[in-house]
Amino acid sequence: MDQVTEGTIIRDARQVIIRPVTVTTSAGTVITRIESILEAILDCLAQGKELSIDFVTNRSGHNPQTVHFPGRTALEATKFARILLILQLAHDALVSGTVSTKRHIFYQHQGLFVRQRTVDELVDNLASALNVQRDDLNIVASSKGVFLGPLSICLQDNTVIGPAVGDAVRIFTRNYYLSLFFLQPGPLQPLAAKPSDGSCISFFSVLFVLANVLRWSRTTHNGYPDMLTCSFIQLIRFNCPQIPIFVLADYDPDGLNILRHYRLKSEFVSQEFTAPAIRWLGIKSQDLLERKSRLDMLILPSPDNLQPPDSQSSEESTGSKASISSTECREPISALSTRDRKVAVRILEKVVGSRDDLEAIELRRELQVLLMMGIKAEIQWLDEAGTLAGWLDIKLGQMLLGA
Amino acid sequence: MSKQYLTTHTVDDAHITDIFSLAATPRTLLSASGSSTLHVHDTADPSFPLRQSIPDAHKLGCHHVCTSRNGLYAASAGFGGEVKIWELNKETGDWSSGGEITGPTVKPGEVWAIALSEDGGYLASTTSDGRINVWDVADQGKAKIREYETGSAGSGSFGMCVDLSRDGKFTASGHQNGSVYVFNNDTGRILYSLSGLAKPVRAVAISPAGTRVAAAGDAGIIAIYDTKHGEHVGNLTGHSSWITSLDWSDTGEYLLSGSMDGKVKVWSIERGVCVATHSETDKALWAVRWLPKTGRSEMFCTAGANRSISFYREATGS
Repeated sequence: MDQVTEGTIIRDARQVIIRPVTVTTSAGTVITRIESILEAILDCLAQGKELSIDFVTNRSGHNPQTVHFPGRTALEATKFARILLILQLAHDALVSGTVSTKRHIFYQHQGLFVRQRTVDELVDNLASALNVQRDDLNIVASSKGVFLGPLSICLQDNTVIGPAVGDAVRIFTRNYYLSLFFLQPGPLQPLAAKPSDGSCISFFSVLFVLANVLRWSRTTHNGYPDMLTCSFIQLIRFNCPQIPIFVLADYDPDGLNILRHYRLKSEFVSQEFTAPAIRWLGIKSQDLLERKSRLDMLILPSPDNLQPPDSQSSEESTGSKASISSTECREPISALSTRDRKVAVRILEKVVGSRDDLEAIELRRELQVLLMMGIKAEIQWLDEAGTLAGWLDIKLGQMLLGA
Repeated sequence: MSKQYLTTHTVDDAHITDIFSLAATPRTLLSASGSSTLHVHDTADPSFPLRQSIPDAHKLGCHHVCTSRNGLYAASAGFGGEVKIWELNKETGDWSSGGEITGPTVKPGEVWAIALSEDGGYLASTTSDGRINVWDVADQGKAKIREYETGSAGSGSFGMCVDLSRDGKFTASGHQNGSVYVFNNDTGRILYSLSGLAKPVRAVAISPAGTRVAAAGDAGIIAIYDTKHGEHVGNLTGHSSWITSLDWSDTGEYLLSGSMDGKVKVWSIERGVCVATHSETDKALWAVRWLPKTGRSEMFCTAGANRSISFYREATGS
């Protein structure tokens, strides 16, 4: 790996313009389409007829369906109300030129939607019904991630998202699900915001995907990548193949499954291209064994007897936990629960059923060893005094030099 | 005095993935791995050739295999939760399917470790919620005949290992929370609850005479208990990693242990010391087993993450 100096950054950095491949529809067209639906409803109201919206029940645009109000069942009436509310919010967002999130829509009327998933599905189906992309409704996925490092992204409306705080908030509402760390060789350290020229991404040498550590949104699947996230990573893979991409995930069934998702979805896109693979940095069983001395210091909290012996210590531990994280807090290393085992077996079934390449074999082995060892470890377990730097230095060094 | 063991042969890449379990009969050794195939090695031949390969035994891989002491039956448990029984055809020497244990209680996580009785008539298995089930596998229906609880119903600690005594009197189990239980099979009751390891117990073995129980795991020590009073009679210390596997020699004089750092040790029970340490690999050993004594000298074998099976023979000197 080259020593990164100011000069090499400029020479090596590739400039990438992110242009979505999808054809977009102008806001005016979408507004017109929504208004025509609303007008039709108004006409029905005026004539005292039953209200209806033409809708589809899946994303491919098939299964046309007309939803009526009051309809034949209470369910249909509820669905009508939900669609109408989403139409209204999309209309508002388009007219005012703002962007709304699916999460935001859900909170407009929790009682009506009940579950976030309902909103997600309806928005997607509505986009299909209107024959537009979801983004054209000015409705985007809920914020799920952050990025760090000298990166700026040019969006299709020519706004530039940079690492500065204000822009970071923007990317929250805009897309990404995961942490992206752009690393310089050497210790992991927060990289200072670097001014970069508008409509491009400039990178340092390593893109580092820190999966499933983000738990601030409980309704999302704890870091499972969506297509948008994967396509973002694909863009980097194909435009900047010199940048190695690593995934670091928990050593537990979900962590291994998230890794599988990144690889699976990247393969889906990459059939006609060749690009460096997304590499698995850890945590693997070997990492646990290499630090066995740290395992031995711990008496495993078994899921069966998590209750501390006396209430005093219970309070103390709760107190110290609260200071570490305000969200979900788990032990960095713990015994597999019955649920973990079931999930691991389910993933194992999928891995065994898929291709037989080296990556699948490695994942299969790690799942089996996970079950054999009976313990799981979170990324935090690698911490020493609150930083992953030492471990990352060694691991990245090994993998980059070994490659 | 220490004992000398020599590596007599190593079957390299005996499986394409980690070998998780070994089980011996008088003339063969069965090996189970992360692949779907079970292997049967001929231990009567000095080159330990592959005698039989049983494909598609466990689609998701196999974590435990065991044999009856009479060498006529074997059982294997897969990651998918299925348990299969295998029968030896005495004339051809081939293993064939003897059925599967099915029913609502056999599902992922429901069966982990397994042990067969001396005559192969009974199979003991552990569950993720700490129960020990005993099945009548000689019967066509393969019914569950005993169910031992080790906690309040459905909340016991994961059962990591199990063993049956040769006389069929006792069942012993080791659990993730460090507890070891001994059950009386005649009364169907728990006999002893043995504590002292505090960390996951990955291996438990009842001595051939049925007088001792050895238990070991992440604590790195082997605890020895007597079965008469449930007393803790000693510890064998010296492993510096998790102990994954234990096996008593035929006479009960020696205990074999394997650990995650690739080391295999032979312990003298009488003197309470380690008499031999070997390591062919620094990768995890998942299974260590004595071979039933057929020739002049004792033999044992080891297998694990390096996918190979190593055979050791006692150096007799004479």
